[in-house]
Amino acid sequence: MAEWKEPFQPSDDAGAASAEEGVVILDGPFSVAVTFTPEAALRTSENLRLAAKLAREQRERALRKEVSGL
Amino acid sequence: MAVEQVLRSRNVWTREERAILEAAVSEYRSFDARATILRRGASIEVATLLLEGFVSRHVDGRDGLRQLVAMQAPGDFVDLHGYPLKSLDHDVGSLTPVKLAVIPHWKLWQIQNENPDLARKLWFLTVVDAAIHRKWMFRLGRLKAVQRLAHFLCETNARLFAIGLSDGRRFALPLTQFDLADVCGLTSVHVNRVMRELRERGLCTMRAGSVEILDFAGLMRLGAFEPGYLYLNDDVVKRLSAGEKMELSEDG
Repeated sequence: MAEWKEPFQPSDDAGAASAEEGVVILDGPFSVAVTFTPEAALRTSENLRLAAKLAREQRERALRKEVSGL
Repeated sequence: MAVEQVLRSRNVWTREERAILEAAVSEYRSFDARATILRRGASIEVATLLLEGFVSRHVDGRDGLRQLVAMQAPGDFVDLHGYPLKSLDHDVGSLTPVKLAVIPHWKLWQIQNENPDLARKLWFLTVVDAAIHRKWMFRLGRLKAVQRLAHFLCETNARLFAIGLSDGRRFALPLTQFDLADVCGLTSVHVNRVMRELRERGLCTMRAGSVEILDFAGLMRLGAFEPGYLYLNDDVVKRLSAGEKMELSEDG
């Protein structure tokens, strides 16, 4: 039996985006398989960019807290 | 195909059991492609055995989007789980023109009481259905787009090989790109891209309602497919895995 792994750890791999017949296909990571209109793809990329910025700030805050608590 | 022939191809039943099932058929029904055979929630008092064509079990979401949750091939009971349930929690529709044999529930009850071995085999079929459902959940939840289609094609090849409708490499699959999209939880554009990828990798080609698998071992690896959950006869799995080609029946 394969080794059990905790499901859905955050992926360190980026999804692969491609253009096909006038739409945007996002493939992976994991089982992600979504097709966007170009407009929705642009809005999603902006949402991702903003969320990534916030997530980085959260990590930095957590790290500062950990260091100051030592 | 006649009932007897369909049941014989599955190699599950004894000759006597095939005769009992054939005698239990009360009528035959035919449907054109894209017909609704059973609606979710409707009261049912018969079970149907698929003789020809392909049937889907599907669930329609409130947004009108359809998810195919199972595909039945000739020799499959379409709604045997409806015998104890008395209604279904999903719709049943024809993907192609189909022919069905109808067996009333009261005759299944009679079989259950008079022939427990046969009843156990009918039960076996419904639990194999459940095993296939589990794998379909795995496919959608864990596999990437190209793997989902690869897995579905491997599964279909194995199931059709078992009933003589695939020679192990080639089989008719008169499903549209939209059907495949519903099976794989993808858009039809994505299915098109994935089909091209399978062709470019030299694994399989699909055109005009037929599939040709060029590298079954490679397709199995890509789709993380192993046929154990289909509970096919050992000799079928061996011949399929060995890449043995089989002469197709006249209906194939």
